[in-house]
Parts: sequence; C-alpha cells; structure tokens
Amino acid sequence: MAQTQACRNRAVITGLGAVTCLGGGVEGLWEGLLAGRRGLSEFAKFDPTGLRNTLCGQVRDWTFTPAEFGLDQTPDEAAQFLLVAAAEAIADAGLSERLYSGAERRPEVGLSLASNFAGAVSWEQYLSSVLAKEPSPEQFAQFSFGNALSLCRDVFGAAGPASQLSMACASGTACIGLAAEMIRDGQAGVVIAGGYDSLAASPLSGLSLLRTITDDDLYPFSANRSGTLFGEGAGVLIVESLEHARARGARCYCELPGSWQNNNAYHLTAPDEGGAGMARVLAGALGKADVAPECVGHINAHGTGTEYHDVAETQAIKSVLGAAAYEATVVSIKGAVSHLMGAAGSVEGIVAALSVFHQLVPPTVNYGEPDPECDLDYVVDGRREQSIDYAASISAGIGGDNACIILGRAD
Amino acid sequence: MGSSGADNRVVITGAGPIASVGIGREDFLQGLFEGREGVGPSERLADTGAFAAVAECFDFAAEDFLVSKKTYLDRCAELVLCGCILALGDAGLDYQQIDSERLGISLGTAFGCLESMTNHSARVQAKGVRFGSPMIFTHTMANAPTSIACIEYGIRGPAATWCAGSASGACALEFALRRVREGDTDIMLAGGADALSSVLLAGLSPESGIVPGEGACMLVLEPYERALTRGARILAELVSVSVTGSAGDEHATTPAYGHTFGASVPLSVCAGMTAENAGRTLRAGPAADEFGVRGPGAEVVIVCGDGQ
Repeated sequence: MAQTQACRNRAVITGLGAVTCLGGGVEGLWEGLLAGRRGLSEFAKFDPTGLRNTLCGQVRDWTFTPAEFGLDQTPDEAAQFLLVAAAEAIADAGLSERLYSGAERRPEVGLSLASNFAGAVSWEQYLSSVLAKEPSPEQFAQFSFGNALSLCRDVFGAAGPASQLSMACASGTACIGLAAEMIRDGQAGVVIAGGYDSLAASPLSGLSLLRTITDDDLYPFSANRSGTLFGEGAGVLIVESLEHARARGARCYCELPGSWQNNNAYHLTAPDEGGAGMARVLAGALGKADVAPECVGHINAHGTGTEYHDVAETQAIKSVLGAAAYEATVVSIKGAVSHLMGAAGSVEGIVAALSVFHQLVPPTVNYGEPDPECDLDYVVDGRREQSIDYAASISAGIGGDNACIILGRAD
Repeated sequence: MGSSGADNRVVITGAGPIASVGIGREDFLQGLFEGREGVGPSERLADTGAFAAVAECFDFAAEDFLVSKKTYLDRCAELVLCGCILALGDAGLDYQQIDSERLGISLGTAFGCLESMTNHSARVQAKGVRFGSPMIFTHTMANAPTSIACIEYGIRGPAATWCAGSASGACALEFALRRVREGDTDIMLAGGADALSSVLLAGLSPESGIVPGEGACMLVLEPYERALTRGARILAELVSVSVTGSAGDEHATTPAYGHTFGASVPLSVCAGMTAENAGRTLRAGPAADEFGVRGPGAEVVIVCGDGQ
C-alpha cells in the first residue's frame, strides 16, 4: 500500500550548481535565461564536418584543476563538469565545510547521479587505444558509468546511498526524483543529485544521422521547428530532508513531493500518439506527489524543437491538466542552452526550482512562429511573474524513456 | 521507511537466469549443483585479450526464446529480453495477461551495449561522423535493452536503467523493491545483464583474479499478498537492498559463472534460492570498485522461501 507523505521525511532543494554554455554557474544560467540570452556557438571541440549543424551548446573556456578536488589525475571531461557543478551546489547549500574538506567518509550523504553517455570523450579515446592494440586501462576506468560515483565518493566523502541512472535524455530529471526518494525513505540526510554529459563524436554522429539535429536552428514549440541542437554540461541539486535543512537554518528553494519515470513502450525514437507516455509520467508524478493537476502553475518542458516531440508534449500536458493547462506557463530553455542530453533534466530542474522560489518564469528563448497545434502559454514575450504553488519538470529521451518531477513551494 | 510489515512485504516469485553454467532457474541451479564447467575459451569473440578463458553463455541463442524476429539486437538486449521471458514463465505469468500500466521494469547494466557502441564508434573514428550507423546508434545506449523490453512486452509502468558498476543490479532491485512496496505497481521485472565483448575484456585487468563472465538474471517481484492470492510459488522475500559508497563484501571471489558485472547481484540472489536454504537469510553484493570496475558496493538481503 502507498505510504502517506505525513509519516515520511519531506525532501527539499537547498543547493544548486550548473555548468552550461551560458557560463557563470547557476547565476549565469538564471540571469541569462531571464535576459533571453543564448549560449550556443560554433562547434570547436573537433572537426564537425559531416554533422547536420555546427551550432551547439558547448562549454567554452573550460579549465579544470584536479588538485582543487584532491585528485592526482584529470578525470573524464563530463565528470569534470559534474564535480564543478557539485562543488557550486554544495557551496550554495552552505555545506562546503562539511562536504568538501577531504577524505572523511560520510554515510549520511548520498549520491543520485545520471548520464546519457557518461564518459563519452574517454570512450572515444579508449576505443582508439583498443583499435591500436594498446588498450588504456586509465581510459577504460574513465569512460565507465560507475566512475563518477567513485569520484564523488572520494572527493566529497559521499559514502551513503549511491545510484546512477542512464535513461537517455530523461536521466537528469529521474535522478532528482530518486534523490528525493532516498530522503523520504530516511536513507540519507543530504543527497548530491545531478546529471552530466559532454559532447563527443559518436553520439553527435548518431543524433545527426537520425536527423534529431536540425540543419536550421532550435525553435521550441514553434511552427518552423525542425529539430534540436545538442550541448553539454552538468546540473547538480542538493536534496535534503526538511528537518535536516531546518536544523541548520538552510534556505529551501522548493520541496520535491513526488516523481515518476516510465517508458512509452512504443518505439525507440518516435514519440507515441498523443504523447501518451509523457501524459502517464506527468499523471504518475502528480499522483505520487498527491497534487491535483489544476494546482500546477508552471511546467519546465522538455521542448526539444523536434517536429513530433513538441506537439506530443503539448498534447500530454493538455490531457493531464485539462483546462488548467492554459493557465500554466510552459517554458523550454533549450533555445538558450541547447539540449544537454543527460544533464538537460537536471539543469531544467534547477531552473524550475528557481521559478518556484522566485515565482518568476524565464521566457522560451528563440521561440519562432506560432504553431496552432502547440497552443499553450510558452512565455514568448520575456520573463513573467507567475504564481506557482506547484511546478512540473518533464524530460523524455531516445528509447522512449520519460521522467517527471513535481516541485512545490517550501513554506 | 523500509519496514517489512505484512502489508508491504515484497516477494520473488520468478527468476530468469542466463549464465555460462545454465539457462533458466532449474538448469542454472542444477549446473551449479553438479559443478558444470562454466569457464572456457570464447566461442563468440575473436579477441579475448589477456583472458584465455571466460564465462561465456556458450549455449545461449536468443531465437530459442523470442517470438519476435528483430533485425538487430545487441547481445545485452538479447540477454535482457530472454531473461524477462524466463522470469515471467518461472513465475507462472503471461505478460499479455498483465495490466501493462501495472507492470514495471528495472534493469542494471554496468557496460550496457558496448558491442554496439564499438560497431558505431569504430565507423565514426575510421570514416568520420557522417559514416556512423543511425540504426545501430539507437541500440548503443545503456537504456536500449530496457526500452526494447518495454516495447516487446508492453511494459508501461515504472521503468529504469541503472549503470553503477557491479552494483548496477542491486540498484535495479532497490528501485523495484520500492515501487512494489509503495504500491506503485503489481509486478516488477528487476535484475541485471552484461555481455562480454572484446572491447570490455581489453580494459579488464587479469591481475585482479577476475574471470570475466556474461549473463542476465531478471527476477519477478510482487507484493506478498498478491502472490498468495494468485497461488504463486514464493522463492524468497526481498527484505532490503542497500547500495552505498562503501558497502559489500571485502573478499571478492568469482563464482563458477564468472563475474557478470550488472548481472552479478541478481544471479547471486538466484543461486541462493535453493531448497537447502529455505528459511535462511542470505546476503549478496559486490564491494565498491570490485575488480577495478568503478562503482559503489551493495548488499541485498533475502529470506529464502520453502515453497520450492
């Protein structure tokens, strides 16, 4: 039988950290979005000849000093993004002294990580070494999914409950929901939750050949949309029990009352008719959160700018929220930061948390021409003050995976 | 909290192991009981690097179990699809008779579809980004086996894929346990899978004493009361699952079917559910970073049933 929320711990978000193409961590992300800035640039990491588009959300001017994290070796690039975002989130939560001070193991601190491609850059290097008959054990360790868990355990002393999801582009949302479950179950007092990914040749090749990547530009929910653009980075959220947060006087951005994750069970790449899988994931998350659909004032949408996805997501929102769908603000941030793959849901979760906290919604950047089939309030005319008791953040990915978290005002 | 009161006990009513020593629960247990040889030279891989012998699923052919004829399946996805069917059959369940929204899946895989990743990435590296394979690419992702199982068996309930090294299968069991305990679903298919490939073996250290293996094991989890109502045979109660940065056995040994990474915890659970162990509490789980495979440790606790 379902357990009631009343007898369980409540999970709140107390710290945020981000690495995106907008630069400047969470402040750069939030201020950039509110100002309608775009962080995309021409691809510079490797020769992009042959890709459908050379515009991407790459992290620019990146430097990483292993010694600052107590590391002897330079970790995989995506793990670097994760570590830097985690350090920012930990500092933002006011936990730096306890969580970022050496090798002490802390069983009350958990990890809920997620990635689509994990060590994608290290994978390319490892495969090259294998094909050259000189396999590199270092690159083997760096590309594996479990690497980031071990790194975060060693760097932050997070020795409590640990998990790592890979649910394609739904990963970064799902791991936030799972972190809240660790808190509600009393497994941990604090959980470092986050998604991360970096741009590499093999995933971009596949996404280009599938024509998921547009040869034009990324126009979320617009009539002239023709595909998405990809980027890299990390989003990390400190999820904490309300009791733990109150005891130390921490600022709470919002509460995480429930989440859901599922699969369309339809097709590896095409969304199902009417967005049925996304509708189930939104309804499931609202059910777990015990929140009525009409109480949702804001949705941070997946909004990739692909032809079929955006209309399916719009239909899913309308089917679950009914008439209330037209009262909610629905925002896609992908026009500003691109589609960050496994990091997308975590960065979008951060933005959703800030929207709830500030009761303020950034615009859907790079909105194009109106589409009669995408007829919700996509906040196309600049930032908007919005009364938000509850928000939802939805993600979907290749393979038909979906994830949704509900965010509520922290009283 | 994870109390196991009568109203939220979760039991294992079916298991679908695929391992070098046997395929299907009875054959797998028989293989272990009689000491069937599970380690030898690979029959499938051209290059096994420093490993003269591996624990390959020598007798496994997906077409023996699958109704549909896919044009392309990664070895890991084959193992998962067949593991699901074996587990459901062992539990006396027909997926077509289960409410699809009350059927969920939770899969752990340390390395996912490494062979397909190699096929796609080697083309990209040799010829450029325009020459990857879009069809193979969709089968390279770690979540592809779970997704394909969802499509094949109409699984519309909770779904998750876990990639946490050798603890991946334990992560999968923990999520599934929570879903059933919280009443989110009636049936969870939960377990793990990993396939051997040349590119994987090239990265493993022979000095660790590991015998690399491959396999899968899906378990059927359901509420105790539901299992009683439908007269299901109860193999064990799943009491608790803990995956932490430091949990697990300190003395890792390789079982007769090799170290199977994401499949190792579910296979250990299956191996423990014997008539001899009825009533006993068993613990299974890898140590953190075991055999040099990065990731947390785990401990799964089951109480074996007596309804063998």
